[in-house]
Amino acid sequence: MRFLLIEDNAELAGSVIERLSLDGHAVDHASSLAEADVCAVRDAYDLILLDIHLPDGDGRHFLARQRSAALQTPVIVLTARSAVSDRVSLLDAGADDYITKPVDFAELGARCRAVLRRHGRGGDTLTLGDLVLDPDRAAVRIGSESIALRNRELRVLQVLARTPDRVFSKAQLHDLVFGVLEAVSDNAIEVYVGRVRKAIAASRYVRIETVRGVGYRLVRLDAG
Amino acid sequence: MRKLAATGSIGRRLLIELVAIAAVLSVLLYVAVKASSSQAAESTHDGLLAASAEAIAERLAADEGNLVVDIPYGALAMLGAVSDDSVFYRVIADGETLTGYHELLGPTQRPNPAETIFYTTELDGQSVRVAALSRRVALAGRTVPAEVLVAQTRYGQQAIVSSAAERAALIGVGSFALAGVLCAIAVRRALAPLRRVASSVERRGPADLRPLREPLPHELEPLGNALDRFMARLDAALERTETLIAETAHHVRTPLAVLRTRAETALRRTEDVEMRSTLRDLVRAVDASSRSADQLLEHAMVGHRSERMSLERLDMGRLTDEVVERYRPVAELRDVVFDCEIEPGVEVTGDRVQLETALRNLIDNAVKYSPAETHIDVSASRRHDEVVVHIRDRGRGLDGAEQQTLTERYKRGSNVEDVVGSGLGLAIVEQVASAHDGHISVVPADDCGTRVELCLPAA
Repeated sequence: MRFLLIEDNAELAGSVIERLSLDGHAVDHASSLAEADVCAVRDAYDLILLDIHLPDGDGRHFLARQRSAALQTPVIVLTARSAVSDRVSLLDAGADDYITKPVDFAELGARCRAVLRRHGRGGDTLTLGDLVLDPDRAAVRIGSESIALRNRELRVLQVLARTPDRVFSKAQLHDLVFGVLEAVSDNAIEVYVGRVRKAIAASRYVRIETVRGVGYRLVRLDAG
Repeated sequence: MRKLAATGSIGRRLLIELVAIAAVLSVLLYVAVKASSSQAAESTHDGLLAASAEAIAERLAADEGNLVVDIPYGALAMLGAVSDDSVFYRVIADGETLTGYHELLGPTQRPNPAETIFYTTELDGQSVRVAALSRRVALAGRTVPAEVLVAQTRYGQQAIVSSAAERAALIGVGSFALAGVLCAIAVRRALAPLRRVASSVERRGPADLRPLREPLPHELEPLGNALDRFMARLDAALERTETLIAETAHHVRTPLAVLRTRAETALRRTEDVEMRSTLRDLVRAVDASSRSADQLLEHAMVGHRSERMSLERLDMGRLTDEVVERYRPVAELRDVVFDCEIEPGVEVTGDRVQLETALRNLIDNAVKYSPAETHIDVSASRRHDEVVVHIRDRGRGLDGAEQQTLTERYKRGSNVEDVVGSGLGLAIVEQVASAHDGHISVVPADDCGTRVELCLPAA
């Protein structure tokens, strides 16, 4: 997915970009409305993340311009204002969703996915040999058989499958799947990996390998 | 609210004073009527007495060197005809009683020839009214002083006076009664504008701080203006407070956002278990501060909005649905699923911002305390004349804590130290509920978790 992040705080911007990249997205960064106008006009983005308080103006004006130009890119607003009345007005102004600062990255990821799904730009299906990962339907298809997955199981598989052969430590998997605040034990991570293994057991093309002392990775088996 | 000590009613004071004045005037009226009718009766009587005395005086004549008088009994009879009083006369010539009652006392001063004098005296134990006149009669070459006294008892007179008094009393009482009634009506009418203004101010909703619109009588204008100014000041103060609250939110959250970002970044960059745990605690602390600030401000906002609620008809079902949708992505992160049963058309009259705030707090709680991969039941329905929003989670429950305690500010359950929260959530919800004449109930659910109900009067 291609994202546009419009945020003037360099530190926050850096973290968001880093996090979204780990999820496999490409992120462009604008640090003012002026820059944003230049980027957004191409409408080549799947999602725009907009900070409502920018040095050169209120993000609402950007929103208004987007809507009046009938641009369909969904927008998620980043705001420090927490009052219900402020948030209601954001949605009225044309935002698809909003997230409050301090930003919880797990929540950010979840909201991005939800908004994209609503706009029919849901997660691209990921195909690896006989395995098709369908995030919109929260399912995995192996051949003609479809296996439902819970959200977290799906996330584990997504993380591993996006970069096959790359090893993820339990800690890394933890952060990417469960978010920072959950104190999920190593045990629980093992359990999740176990469930995913079971789900994709029928595949003759991929499997999840335990790299002892390091972590897990998805490997492609040679066909045949 | 403290009730001002009433210092009596204007209306009552006014009425009492007017009635007192009417009473005084009525008494004066009575006295005047009685006096003037007694006066009139008395002069009439005196006139009759005088006429009789004159009639007798005319009959004074000299006869062979003596004064003689031929009493005209017809004249005296006229006196007697008016009432049952007794009539007496005495003619004194040259110091000696010529005829009549000796005991009839003469006047203290000899009357002048031209005038008749009247006085009251006692005769035989009765009170009599006397007319006295004097004449000089020619007798044997000289003039002799003569006096004629005609007297009558006063019973008739007294009867007239007392019937006049009765009539005067009736007039007095009648006029007093009429005056009283008219005063009461007048006082009521005069005070009507006051009552109108008071009831119109009372009828205003809690949020209505607009200036008075009714035309006011001149005397009430200063009060009306003061009231308008006061309401305008209150309105401005509330608006300033709301703005301050929103600004503060922004200022508190920005440094927290920076802090959290750094912590999360550091967290992802290290594999050291202890370091990760410490950093996780740091992030949790940041979130707790942030949530605290949020809820503090929410609490204050809700408190102020109670003073200026903007009421509208709301579909609680739709509102609940919106809030659930808002929390779905966050819940999904931990595979927490919402099972919703929303009845269509369950409406309340309320303040949208407050109600949404309350629902958010409740659903946030449910999501926070639900373990991964559990369900949250949410329903909105109509029960008799109430709208009930019911939320049930399958979390760790209340651990014996009572609703009373949990809705106190800053009180949290004893079993929730690991979950970020400020302890204000339920206090906020309770405040919103009571501002809408509703209530909440928080009880343990059957096997595990908590059941919360927000009940509001249906629109």
